[in-house]
Amino acid sequence: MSSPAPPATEAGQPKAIKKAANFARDCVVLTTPAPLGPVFAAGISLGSQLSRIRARLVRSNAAHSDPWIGFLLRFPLPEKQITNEEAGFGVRHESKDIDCYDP
Amino acid sequence: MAEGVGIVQSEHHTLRVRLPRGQVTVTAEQATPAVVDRFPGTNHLTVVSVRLAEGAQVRVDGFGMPFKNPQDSEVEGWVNHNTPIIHGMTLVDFLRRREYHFVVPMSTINLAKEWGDDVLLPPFSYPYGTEHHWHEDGMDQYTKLLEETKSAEPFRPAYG
Repeated sequence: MSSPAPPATEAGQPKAIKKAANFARDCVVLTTPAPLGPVFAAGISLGSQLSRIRARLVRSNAAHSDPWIGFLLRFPLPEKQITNEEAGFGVRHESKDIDCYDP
Repeated sequence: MAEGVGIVQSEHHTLRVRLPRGQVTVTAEQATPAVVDRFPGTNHLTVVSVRLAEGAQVRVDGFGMPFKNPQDSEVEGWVNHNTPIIHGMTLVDFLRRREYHFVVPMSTINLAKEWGDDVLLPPFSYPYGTEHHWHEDGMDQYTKLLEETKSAEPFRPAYG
C-alpha cells in the first residue's frame, strides 16, 4: 500500500473503514408530508417545545457491522435517573462506542 | 460504581430505526417558505420523505428495553403501554408506517452527500471467505487467513 485509497470493498480491510464517519443531525419527524402534519418528534436544536421525543437523522458506518441509514427516537429518562435508582429500577448506561452515540 | 471505558449514563431511552437498505425511496427537496416559517431559526431546511418498498420493513433496535420515568407518566405510557402520542397515533402505529417525513436543518445538497443508500459503505461481512471444507493440507488455509486478516482492533461489542 503506497498511497491512501478509498475504503476497499474487499473483505479483510477493517482498519480502512474503521474511521468512516458516522453522521447524525437533529431533525423534525412529521406524521404527514411537510409543511402540514403534527410533529411526532424533534431534535432539541430545532426547538425544545416541539416534542418531548427527540429525533435525529443518522447514518452509521461503524466498523464490523452493517452500515445503515435511519433515525433515532429518544425518550427522556428522569433527571440523572435518580428516581429510578431510588425505586430499584436501576440506571441505564450506554456505550460511547456504538455507532450513533450522541449525548 | 466505576464506569467502564466509553460507558456513560444514558439521558434517553433510544430507539434506532434502521431503514431497509435498497428498499426505500428517498426524496429530498428544499423546504418551501411554509416549512421555513414553521421551523424558524435555521438557515437551510430540507424536507425528506422516505417510502418503504412493498414488503419491506424497518428494523428497530432498542424497542422493549426496560424504561421508567416517574417524572413523566405520559412518556412512560407512550413507551411502556403504547398510549397515543399525537392525534391518536401510538409508537407502534408510527413504527409500522410505510412512509416517514422529516425536516432537516441542512441544505439539500449537503444532506444528499451524507444521508442515503448511495453513500453507505458496502454491507459488512466477516473476512473469512466462504470455503470452509477440510483441505488435504490441513490447517494451512486457516493459518494463512489469520495472517492476512488479523486486525489491530477487536470486533466491536455486540451490546448497545
